[in-house]
Amino acid sequence: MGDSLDMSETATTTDIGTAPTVRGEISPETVSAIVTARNEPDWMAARRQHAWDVYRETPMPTTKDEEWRYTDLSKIDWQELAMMDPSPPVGVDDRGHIPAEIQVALHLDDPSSAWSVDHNSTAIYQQIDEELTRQGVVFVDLAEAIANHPELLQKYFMTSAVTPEFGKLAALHGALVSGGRVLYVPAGVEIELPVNAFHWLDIERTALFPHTLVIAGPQSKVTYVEECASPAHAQEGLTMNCGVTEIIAEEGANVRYAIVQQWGRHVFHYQAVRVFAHKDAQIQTLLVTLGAGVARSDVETDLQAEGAHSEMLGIYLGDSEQHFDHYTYQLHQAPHAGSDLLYKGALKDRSRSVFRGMIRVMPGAQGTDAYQTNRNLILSEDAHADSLPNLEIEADDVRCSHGATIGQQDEQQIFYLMSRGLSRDDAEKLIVYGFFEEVLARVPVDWLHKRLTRVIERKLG
Amino acid sequence: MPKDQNVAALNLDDYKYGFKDPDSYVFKSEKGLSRQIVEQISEMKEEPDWMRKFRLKGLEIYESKPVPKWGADLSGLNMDEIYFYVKPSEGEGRTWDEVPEDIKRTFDRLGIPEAEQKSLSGVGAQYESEMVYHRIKDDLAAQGVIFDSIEDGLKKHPDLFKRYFATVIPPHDNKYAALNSAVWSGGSFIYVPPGVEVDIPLQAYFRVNSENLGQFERTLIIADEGSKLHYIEGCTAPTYSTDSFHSGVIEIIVNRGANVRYTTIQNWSNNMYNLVTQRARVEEDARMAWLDGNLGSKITMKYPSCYLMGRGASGEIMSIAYAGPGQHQDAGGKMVHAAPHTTSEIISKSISKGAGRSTYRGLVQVQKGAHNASSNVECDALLLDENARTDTYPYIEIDENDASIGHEATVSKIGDEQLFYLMQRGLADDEARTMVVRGFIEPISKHLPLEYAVELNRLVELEMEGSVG
Repeated sequence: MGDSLDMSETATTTDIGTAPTVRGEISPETVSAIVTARNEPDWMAARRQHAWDVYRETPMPTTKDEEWRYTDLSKIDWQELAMMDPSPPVGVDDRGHIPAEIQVALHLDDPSSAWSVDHNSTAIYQQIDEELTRQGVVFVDLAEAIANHPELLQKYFMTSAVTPEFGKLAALHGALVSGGRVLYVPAGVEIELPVNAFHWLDIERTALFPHTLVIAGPQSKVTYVEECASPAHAQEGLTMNCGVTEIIAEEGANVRYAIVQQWGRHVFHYQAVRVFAHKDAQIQTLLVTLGAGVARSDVETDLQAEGAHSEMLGIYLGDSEQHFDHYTYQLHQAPHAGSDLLYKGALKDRSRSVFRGMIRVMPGAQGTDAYQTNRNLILSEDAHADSLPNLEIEADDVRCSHGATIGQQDEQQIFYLMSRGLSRDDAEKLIVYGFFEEVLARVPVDWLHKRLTRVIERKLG
Repeated sequence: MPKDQNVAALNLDDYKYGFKDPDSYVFKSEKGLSRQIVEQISEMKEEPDWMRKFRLKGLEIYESKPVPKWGADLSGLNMDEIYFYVKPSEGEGRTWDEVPEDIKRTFDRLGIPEAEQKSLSGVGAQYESEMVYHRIKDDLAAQGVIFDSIEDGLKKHPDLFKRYFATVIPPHDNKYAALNSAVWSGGSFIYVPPGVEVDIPLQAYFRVNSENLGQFERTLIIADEGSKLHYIEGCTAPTYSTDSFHSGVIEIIVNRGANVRYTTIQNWSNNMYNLVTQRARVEEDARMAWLDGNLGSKITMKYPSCYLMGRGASGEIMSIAYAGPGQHQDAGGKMVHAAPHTTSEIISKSISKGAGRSTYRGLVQVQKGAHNASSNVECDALLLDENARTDTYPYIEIDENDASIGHEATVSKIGDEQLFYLMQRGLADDEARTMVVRGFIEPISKHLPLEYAVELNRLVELEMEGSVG
């Protein structure tokens, strides 16, 4: 249907006015230019200003900093990046008017209760089940949230899960946030089908700062899936995607969050995902890292109160010269909380991955159960994996363990499969699927499980 | 917390090596470090010019390097208060009768001459900055085994010495290796000729007696092709209210097919900063094993390492750490696989009690070209009460796809079920706990010579006494 589309957009959902091209220096003027262009209220301007102040006071991490030892931010030439999209896409009011290329990449048949499309961090389309709106569920883009739900943003936007103090890039994100999505699920509301946020990125030499804010009220239930994709053709000119996801899970809330990152190779991807878990909250996060030239993710769970539990899953599959750097943090601040992390990665060609995980058990967090496992499969002679699973334990009544392995495919397994008539290629692929299946089996959304299997298949070639 | 204070007091009382003897020395440098002191040391040791220059270079590097930001808190270490060189006596004894009476008495109290008779092939004893005694059994000497103080090594075997000295740990390796390069004094020089097997261990014992002393021993061990050696070092010091400082450098060359085991039972008093660099270069089909026991000191930062340089080389590190109140044991190890078919294993067991903190910090690196390397790391931490802390920081860096690398770590406390079971069998609570701890360290203590295993168990029992009630 893509080809028959009428490409003349009819309406816009958000008009952010004419944006100046702010290229080169990141300065206080950049922040005020954004505020003016987006016509934001004073409180939001103050938020940006505060983040800007933090950004200015925080030194740029270098490879001398332990947390950034393996990923060199100095390779980003900020002078070459526009700090906002000079000609943002316009929204459409009919799903048929979504640009053809995006239509092709989208999977609209996937069952969902709400879905949205953001193009280069600008919202262009969204749809939500009316029943949910009646129940008080809010699913809007950031600009609309600022205009119509200021109380939600004032309370939660970069105040508890991810604050600007989280780090240099989070602070920059707070100052220059370019768009995003807010989902609010009121107390007791259970959303059965997932909420799908689709992100399309085809811009070059620009820095984007998309934000995701999920607030799950007490005893609510929701699954939120973000998919990030770019056109299949190669693009040049480094682009920075500096995203932040904040998840606030109130007492007894059940939140499942997945982000599937398949950006083009010209993208330097930074993603902070931080969960703020209240009493008895049940959280699952899944990070799937496939795209971008360089991808660095900071995934944290802050277990604030008793009974909270966080399952943290990750899959990465690198090829060519891709560089993936995952930093995970399981922060146990309260007794009787649990966390269980499983990150698995396979590396082809000259790709490289770093996994650095930390379990931190604070004094008094007795009865903690915390586990962390990182497994790496090296598929080529020139691939490289580093694994740094760390523990810092300050309570004694705990059950904590971590494990890491780096290895290649088991020749015996390959031999066995070949003796059953498979070619060597197919046998190797099958082993990689099997390797990832341990994680995929824990993904609760059926179509996502199938999709990921296909995507992995395609990337294995 | 009164309970903790009791525990701390108990531990200090139980440190049976905390006695001190009156200071007696023939030379004591001024406090603090200067170029002049470095030159003085070199002059007193009548060193060749290259060594004097080497020391000064070391000083330069030391001054240019910042205090490490990672690891234990070194902010309490005041270098201006440290005496960098104290010479306790003139010359070194070949029999205990040649050792000055008061110093001999110290080593008698530590049981060294007795152990020498019973179970050792040779003994070296260092008091303050100098070795005061060195002796090896005649039959080993006859086979060409050299066991000298490092100073005598330089004097008597200049070519061998120069060929290997500082090749495994160059001065710029780290700040404290640079410091040691500048002010080293004492330590052993060992050479085992090809094919010679020294079946009974050699031992060096390090004693710091005076207050605010810096001890910088330097040991160089060369195990030639197909030879075998077990070397043990032990260390103690009196308990003072001010801090002392120990920063050794131990270099080991394990030539083709040789087999070296190096055992440390570090039991410094709780006012010692212990920052040691120890590293072995392991050649083809050779094997190096470190057994590193850290029980004493205020702060230890020590990561024995094996550079597996030859095909088929293997390395083993067994690390055991006990951190009581006021102690931070930042220990672990490094395995660098630089050749094909190299294997390594690290087993680390740590126990933390009171506000004690034990840290495992380790590196497993497989370099490009090191095909079919395999490495396994296991770290277990036991926490004895709620104020204890443990950290695990393993680094795994793999540059070859056919490596097989595993790392596992667990943290636990003594289980109620374990205690219940043992107490049901008639053991008292503290006996049961001690037994669990003993079982916990058994995988490592069983690799110790019997006397040391007994000593380690005894130390653990002593430390455990304060842990109940």
